[in-house]
Amino acid sequence: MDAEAEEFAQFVEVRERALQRSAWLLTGDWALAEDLVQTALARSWPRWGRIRRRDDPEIYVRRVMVNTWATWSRRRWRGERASGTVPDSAAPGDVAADLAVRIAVRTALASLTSRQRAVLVLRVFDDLSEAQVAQVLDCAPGTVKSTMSRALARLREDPRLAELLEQEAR
Amino acid sequence: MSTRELRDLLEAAAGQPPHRISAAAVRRRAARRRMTGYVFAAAAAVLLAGAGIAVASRTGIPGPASGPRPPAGAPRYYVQQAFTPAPPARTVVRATATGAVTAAVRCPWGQAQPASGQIAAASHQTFFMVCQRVVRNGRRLVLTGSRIYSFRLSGAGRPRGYILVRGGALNGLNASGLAAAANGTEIAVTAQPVTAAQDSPLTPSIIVISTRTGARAVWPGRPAVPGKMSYTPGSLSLTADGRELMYIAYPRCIRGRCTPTGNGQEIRALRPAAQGGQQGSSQLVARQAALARLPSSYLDGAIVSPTGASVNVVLVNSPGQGPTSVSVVRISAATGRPARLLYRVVTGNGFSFQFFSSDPSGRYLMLDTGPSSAAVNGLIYHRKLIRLTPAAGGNVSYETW
Repeated sequence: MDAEAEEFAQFVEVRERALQRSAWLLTGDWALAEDLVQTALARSWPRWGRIRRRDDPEIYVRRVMVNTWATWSRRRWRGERASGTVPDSAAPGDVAADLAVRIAVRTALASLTSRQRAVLVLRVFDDLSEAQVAQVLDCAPGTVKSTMSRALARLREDPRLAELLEQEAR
Repeated sequence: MSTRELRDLLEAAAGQPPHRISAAAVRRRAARRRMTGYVFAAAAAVLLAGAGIAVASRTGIPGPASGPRPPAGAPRYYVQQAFTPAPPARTVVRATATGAVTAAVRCPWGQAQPASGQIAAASHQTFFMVCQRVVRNGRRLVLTGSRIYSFRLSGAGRPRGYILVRGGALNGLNASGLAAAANGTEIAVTAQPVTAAQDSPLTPSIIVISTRTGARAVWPGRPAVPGKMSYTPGSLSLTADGRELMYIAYPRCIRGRCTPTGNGQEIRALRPAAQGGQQGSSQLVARQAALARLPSSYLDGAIVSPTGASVNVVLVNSPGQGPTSVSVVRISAATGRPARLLYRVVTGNGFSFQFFSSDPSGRYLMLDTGPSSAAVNGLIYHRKLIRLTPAAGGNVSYETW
């Protein structure tokens, strides 16, 4: 295996879970999140020679991921998505509570525009700086700031999230 | 809410991905993408060379949906309600052919919102809808009343001529279900006083309203007796002339051990619908036990045909061990026996059911069901579900046309 392929394999090995979790927050669906990350990585792989020379290849991959998701969101029809997995399987822990959090967060994120959601996930969940988010989204840092503020204001109005936080505080 | 609290919530919600992604799989996918690109490029070149500019211009338009399209006879537009983080549900009109949103539906009554799942279709793309007025009392939202409005869709799919239905001002009542006759002369609604608590022992009343005169026929709800099974009406539907009303009676036991035990849903008919009386005097059409193979099965929706000769029923077969299935079965209203299977889907270990609705002709049935994590939204046609937009059924709370 040449150095390029080895480095790519290492990157995928180390970062795929984090990318999938961010993708879930964007899409709200694990099958779609997996597909999104695979697509972003598959689009990045042919250019990996150039990408690896950058300071942070992950920024490039995230940019591809967010742009791909924006394209998918604009489509009217997303077609049937087959899944080989059994939909319900036994899970450890308090499934109902986990599910309640998941549904509340997914619904709250769905109320944001795709741009607001991307900014929120990159800034809050992935902990990127405003400059890095601006680089991913190809916009000015000021735009990131204002979009983030609008997204937060919207989420603060969400009664289900407020209720969850209240429960956590108790 | 601080960003730290939000981060914790996002962390908790995201959980862990169910599968891992390997570099080898990604490289294989990239290779497939490249190959597909070559094939498409070659095909486009052949088409361009062979068919000239006309074909070239057609190939230049991005193709819309894959998969079968809704049949030509289906209504042009449908009204849809989507899940939103907090009430009210967002209500829009969509074009059947493209799935495009053509307009939003609003209540012409100050501070009122369309109630979730309470929209009923009559002929010529006329709709009836329950609007509920909710006021904020401290941190709680309090319902103060309901009104029933009608509107029509224009040729461009926009709501026109909102009218308060005669007899449709349900002051002090909380409506929970709505049905309309295809000719629009009668509508039926289930309702309870707004003061009734959610766990109130009172069952909802069935009210049939003549939209011409505003006259009401009422089958009042009764308080449930502890230890005795009571029945809550739901899933109302009317025949085309509004003379017969069909509903599912859902059993409810408020305290102790009730008899008879089991699921025991019943499909019942009120004939004629415009008279009023006791809910118990309705006629039994079919029992869950007679339609479903297993005691763990249940009825999740029923719509009477325009003539009243048959009823289309959603049956969920949930054996506990083994795959669950959701079936839509046509039963005879005279005998209560299954006559025809319209659609069936095996949903694995779990299932999702959002709604079952019909157009006024009874030919085009809408269903939102499927595996619990991948419900689909569509139209039943020749034992298949033709997807409607959005295809992901989990996002849709109700649709009708």
